[in-house]
Amino acid sequence: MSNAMRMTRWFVMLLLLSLTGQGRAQDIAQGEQLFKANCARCHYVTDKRFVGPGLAGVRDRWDEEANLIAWIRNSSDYLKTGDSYATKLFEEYNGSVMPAFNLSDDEILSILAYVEEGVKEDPTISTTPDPLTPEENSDSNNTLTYILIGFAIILLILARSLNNVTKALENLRREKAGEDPLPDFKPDYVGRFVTWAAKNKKVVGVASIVIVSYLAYQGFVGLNTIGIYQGYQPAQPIKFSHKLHVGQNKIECQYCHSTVEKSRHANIPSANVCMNCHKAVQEGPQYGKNEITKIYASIGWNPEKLAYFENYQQMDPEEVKAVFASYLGDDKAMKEVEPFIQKPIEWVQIHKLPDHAFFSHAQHVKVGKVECTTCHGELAEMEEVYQYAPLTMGWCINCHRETEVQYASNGYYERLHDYYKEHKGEYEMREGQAFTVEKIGGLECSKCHY
Amino acid sequence: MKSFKQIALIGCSALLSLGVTSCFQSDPNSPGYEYMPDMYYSPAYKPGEPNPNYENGITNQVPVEGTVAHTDEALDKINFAPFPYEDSPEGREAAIAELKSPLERNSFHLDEGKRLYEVYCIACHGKEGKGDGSVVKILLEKDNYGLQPPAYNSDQLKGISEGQIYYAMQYGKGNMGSYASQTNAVERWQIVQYVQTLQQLGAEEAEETDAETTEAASPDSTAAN
Repeated sequence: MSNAMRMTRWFVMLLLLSLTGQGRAQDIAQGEQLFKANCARCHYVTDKRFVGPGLAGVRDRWDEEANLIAWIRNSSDYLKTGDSYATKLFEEYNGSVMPAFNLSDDEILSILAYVEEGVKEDPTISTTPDPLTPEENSDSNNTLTYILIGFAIILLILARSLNNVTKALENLRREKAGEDPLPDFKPDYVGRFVTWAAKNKKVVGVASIVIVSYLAYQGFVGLNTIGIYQGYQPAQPIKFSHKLHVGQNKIECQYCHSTVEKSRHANIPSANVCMNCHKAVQEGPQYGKNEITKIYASIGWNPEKLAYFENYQQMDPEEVKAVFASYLGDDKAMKEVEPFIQKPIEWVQIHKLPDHAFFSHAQHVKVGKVECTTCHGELAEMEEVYQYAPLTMGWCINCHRETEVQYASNGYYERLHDYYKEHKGEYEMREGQAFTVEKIGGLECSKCHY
Repeated sequence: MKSFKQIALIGCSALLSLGVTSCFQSDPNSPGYEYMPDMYYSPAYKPGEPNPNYENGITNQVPVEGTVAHTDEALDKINFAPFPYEDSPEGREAAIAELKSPLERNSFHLDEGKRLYEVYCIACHGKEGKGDGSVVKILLEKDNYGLQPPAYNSDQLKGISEGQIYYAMQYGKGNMGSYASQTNAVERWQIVQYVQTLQQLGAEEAEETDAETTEAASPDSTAAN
């Protein structure tokens, strides 16, 4: 390339920059502000769908810029003009209306300028994986066992070789002294043990006492765990992490388990509750798309179009499978998602009381104001949930004996409280005696068994 | 030498029995053994269990459309009341214009509203409704600013009617899902009451500071607030 050509190029570029560059930077900055304040809730600057369409190339999609500006300013007014493209958009997005904005032409143009610029500089707004700390899988138990086994093997080899060394040394000594060498190792373990045991009855006696008492103790402990599920930690169909949702995201327990203060049961949330957040949050920090797609497969959300499938349950499963396969792009992950297609999510129940015991969550949470963590443990630190409390009758009774009734400013106990105040003489409590659940009949058989 | 052997033997046998019992350690996927579980399980289907009697195999059937849970006589009137506005642009317009809260304004409903707000709304909308909830903050860190809800006291939201707030909870709006399955009508109206106080947040302060600034004529006080 000749110098002259290069010079001309530079000159042309400079000329262009001086013509267009002025004010553009400011436009874009203003546009960015306006975009984030007004548009970003529903639109991406890429071509990715969100609540509204992705805005990449929006200028090219509209024939006339004036129409686009009118549409942005007040879409419902513009719809009345019967523009075919606008009507199509409106129908494609299930008739959701873009709110009207009080923006001037210049402001809208600056937003459009930012959108054009934004695409170039930030093509991956939502596709970057979450930077939240990925948790290491806790295989520590397994590794400990392996380490112990390794140690045992090393020690055995060491013992064997040391034994050989002592034998060789002894033979050497005997050779020098002119004695016979040690006899060869006899493999008759049982015979040797029997003769040895016959000679050392005391040692055998002590050893058998140790073994028998240890086994008896273990047996007793084992029998005590019969019917108690404490520590039960089954694998769940979706690797849902309470540590992430409760610990990091700080979502209240009742957000999902919303019946906990209205019903006997704490519900397992239906998939629509998951969708409150996971419509927008499509990738998790640990498992990416894979686990969240299981929810989509169950409830019938099309993650590519960001809309629910119509008549999901009646759809051809193959057709649905194709959508999710192309979305995941990973055969292994797709295999895991397949059983969820058009099926409910079968969570595994962990905390089970026998049917002959009555327990009401509403009574404990709403009236008794018991914290969830009292019985369920620190869920904010549980990657997978396990049964924290033993849920035995002794455990229930103990808590009823120790827990004081929170009757102060508690509407439920107002009448009871007043009654005791009126009949003070009859029910006078001893000085320093706590007003526990036991005192209001918390130990009555028929409270829980009827 | 002999005593060493004896100690070693006893130690070995203890280790052996430990090894034997540790083999019985339970599989985390199994809850363990039960002793005569006859009275543990009644034939009734429990919620959340599969149920072959229904076509879709679920015990938790969706209630017949329009059913409302019975809660409390005084509040049932509100929970039983039909919601005549459809999930459509027209329904929304109508709700914004006409829908009024059936609850009277009092501290009980307001406190309940605050409590419920801090369960259902706070994760995204934040403690003071500024759109800075814990979930949003984490998403903002990865520059997903699109998910930040506007502040209740922003120009966009401070003027919206109680009907519009309720309608958003009933059917959802934008990225916000419907909360009709988690809350009942009374609870939603209680939340509306609390959200309305958040809409006013800053407005009174601003008025006060305006008054102060005009009185004291010192522009610093506004900045400080």
